Amino acid sequence: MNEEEIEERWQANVQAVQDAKKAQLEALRGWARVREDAHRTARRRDPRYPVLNAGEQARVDGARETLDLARKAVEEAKIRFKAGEGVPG
Amino acid sequence: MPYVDPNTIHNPATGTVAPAAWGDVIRDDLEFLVDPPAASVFNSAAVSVADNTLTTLNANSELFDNDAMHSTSVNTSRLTAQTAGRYLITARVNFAADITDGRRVIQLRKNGSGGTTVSSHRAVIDGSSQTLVGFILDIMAVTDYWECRVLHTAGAALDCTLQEWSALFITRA
Repeated sequence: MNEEEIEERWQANVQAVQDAKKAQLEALRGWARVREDAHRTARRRDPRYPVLNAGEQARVDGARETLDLARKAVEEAKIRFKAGEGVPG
Repeated sequence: MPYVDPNTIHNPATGTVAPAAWGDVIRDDLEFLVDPPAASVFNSAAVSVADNTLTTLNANSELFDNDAMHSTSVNTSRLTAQTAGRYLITARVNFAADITDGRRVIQLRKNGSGGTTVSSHRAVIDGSSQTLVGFILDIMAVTDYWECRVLHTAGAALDCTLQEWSALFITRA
């Protein structure tokens, strides 16, 4: 690799960490939003017994899974930066 | 993850149960406070530095780095902010023993341009090695980076060792 390629790889890896961190924050906000929506719907459906139905619970769990994956992606991006590996895809 | 205002996740109201996402962000924020971004790296061997030539020092080893501020394979001289904030940047460099008079200088450089001399001393010429320490406080945006450079006027190449090269997050900017 020449100096320019090294610099490009470094920039790409730094950017990948930043992008992963942004995605993590978005996933956290997304999880909060999905959960809030699901509970609001459940309250509207039955204020005395506001339990999530299977679909709502699946959406909340899915959003939580997205957050877990986003956290993992941040750690992986950091490892790639430290190792100087190329950004996948 | 850097500090996140919990109110951007959920604004608690009296009598309501705080959602798990809110608890998560509080936990993340506490984790950030007890373990803020910090890196301390070094070079495990001396490098030969030519006379009167500003030379960037690489760091091939890490004592710690909790925020991917340093790479051990690409641009190893750099300490990069992955989290914006106010940072304390410090450098400790050992200059090998020499009996020639002259200067020993540490200069820190941000984002590959300019340079600030943080330590400049007359050489110790009694045959003992000389260790210089320098530091700088800076407001760093994400992707900003610092490098440590040295200069000496020993008259011939001199071995220098980057013994400690660190960046410590102090507060958010």
